[in-house]
Amino acid sequence: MQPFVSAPTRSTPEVRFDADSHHHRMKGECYPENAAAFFSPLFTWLRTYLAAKPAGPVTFDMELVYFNSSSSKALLDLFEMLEIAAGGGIRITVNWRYDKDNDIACECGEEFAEDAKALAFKLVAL
Amino acid sequence: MTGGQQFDRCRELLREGGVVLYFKGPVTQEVVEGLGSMIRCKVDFEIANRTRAAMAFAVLVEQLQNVLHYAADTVDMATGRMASGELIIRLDPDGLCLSCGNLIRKELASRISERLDVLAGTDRETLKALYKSCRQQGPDAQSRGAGLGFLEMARRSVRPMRYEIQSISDDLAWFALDVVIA
Repeated sequence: MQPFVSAPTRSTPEVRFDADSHHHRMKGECYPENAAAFFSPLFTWLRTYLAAKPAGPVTFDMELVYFNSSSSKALLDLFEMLEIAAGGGIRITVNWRYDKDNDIACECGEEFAEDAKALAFKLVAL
Repeated sequence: MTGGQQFDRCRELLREGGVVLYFKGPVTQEVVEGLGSMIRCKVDFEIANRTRAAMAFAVLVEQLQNVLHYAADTVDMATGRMASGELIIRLDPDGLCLSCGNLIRKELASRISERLDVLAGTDRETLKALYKSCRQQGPDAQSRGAGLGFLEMARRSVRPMRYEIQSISDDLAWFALDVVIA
């Protein structure tokens, strides 16, 4: 499976999903004008990837400086997709990497972490 | 009147209001990015507080993206949307006030005021719970984004958000929203 790669812009993060290493990351700002359009290809890739039931541990490093409210909904959908996959037996860890001096970034991570059950959702202060 | 005289008159008015920034003009995603980065730098530099800089940035982005999504004069171009908006950032006894205004179609007015009236009477803990449940449920049919923008700003505002809706014509109204961050 080809990796999913998207170069960062001022309002969208760098995305690199890699089906070989099972190490995936999103890094940067996330406030596109149209969040649905930005996230749609990511979801398509992830659905195919998760359907193949990767056997080894899967890691998502999420380092988002800021995300707008529409992206917040898309991120929740992404984590729910991972939660379901984790419930189905795939070992998935999300590392929510945030600036320790930014209380909002920490709080946002905590709010996602509250809903994680099968998914290992870790808060990592930088 | 020359540009110079116009500047003098504007400057006088803005000084009285403690205005940090006044913007009036077409809003595009690039404008959101530019003004957002400007306010983040300014708050970070002057107050040296990353959380407050992040709050100012978040409120500015939500305000201006609401203009892009809901203003009555929004046009779709190949490069994205464009709409007229006004933004005033001014010093406030409680912190920094970000006011944003734009034209809306009148049929949106009652929906906007209902939502904002509810939020103004909601405490912080309930706002958080409401944000999480609305995010879970997803947007209603009229929303262009996740329908969370007002809630997000209400959570960041140190006091209940104030708004104004003034009738302009049979179809149009002027909508302005004040959000005050610490």
